[in-house]
Amino acid sequence: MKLAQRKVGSNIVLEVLEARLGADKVEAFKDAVARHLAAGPVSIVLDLSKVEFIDSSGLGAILSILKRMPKGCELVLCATTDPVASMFKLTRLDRVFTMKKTVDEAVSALSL
Amino acid sequence: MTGGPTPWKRLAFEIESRLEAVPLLGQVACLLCTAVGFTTVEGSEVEVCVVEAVNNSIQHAYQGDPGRWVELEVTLLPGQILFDVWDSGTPADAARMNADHRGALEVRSDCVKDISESGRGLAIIQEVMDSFEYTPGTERNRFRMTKRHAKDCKVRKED
Repeated sequence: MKLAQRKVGSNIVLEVLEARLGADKVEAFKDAVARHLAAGPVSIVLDLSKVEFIDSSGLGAILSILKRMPKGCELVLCATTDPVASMFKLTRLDRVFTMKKTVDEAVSALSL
Repeated sequence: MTGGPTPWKRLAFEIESRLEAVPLLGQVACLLCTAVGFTTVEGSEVEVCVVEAVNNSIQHAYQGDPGRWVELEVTLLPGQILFDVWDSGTPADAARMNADHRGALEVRSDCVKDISESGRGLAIIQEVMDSFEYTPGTERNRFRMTKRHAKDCKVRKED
């Protein structure tokens, strides 16, 4: 699972460098994000701009990360492509996550 | 002469029961949808449905065992496309499979810890497709999904 990390202040932006987030990738994805959380409490912006496909397993994995965020830390999603945004809307999970159009907007949302 | 409309074109694709092979079937479904006039978003939604159905076959009917086969049969009919996912694994409970799954999409954002991380696959299929039906068999199980063409498509109920 390829993730690109960028530190912004005390938070991190994780860019998912995979085009597909499906059942065959979710365990590696969760492990990769968990490694970033293991170093200590940190809020995360998850940049999904390169993800063109997500299924229920992928949605469940992102939900799993949200549920495991340390107290006081946030998870903000951003830059979803049309097919991915469609799945969040269809499953009503767009009501659960904070979702922003751009990385900058997501970072700003964290610092509020 | 059997009942029902005459198939216009029928295509079949087979993969080994490995999750990493599933995207191929999904992409085929998406490609066929856009080729017959669905939008790219509709094609992507159908792709998710096919992936969900094939994942079910691999993870439940075959319990994750590789070396088995899952077939996707696509039938193009006037006004609609049928997607049949076939496996020869352990049959699922047909009543449970064919039940109404839309409740799995109900979420309350104020209690995130209570939101299930799984169990949305059939609900997604029910939401995207015009109909679906699981038919267990003695030799093979079939999961059929039907999607009508653009002008005949159901209008998704807005929240």
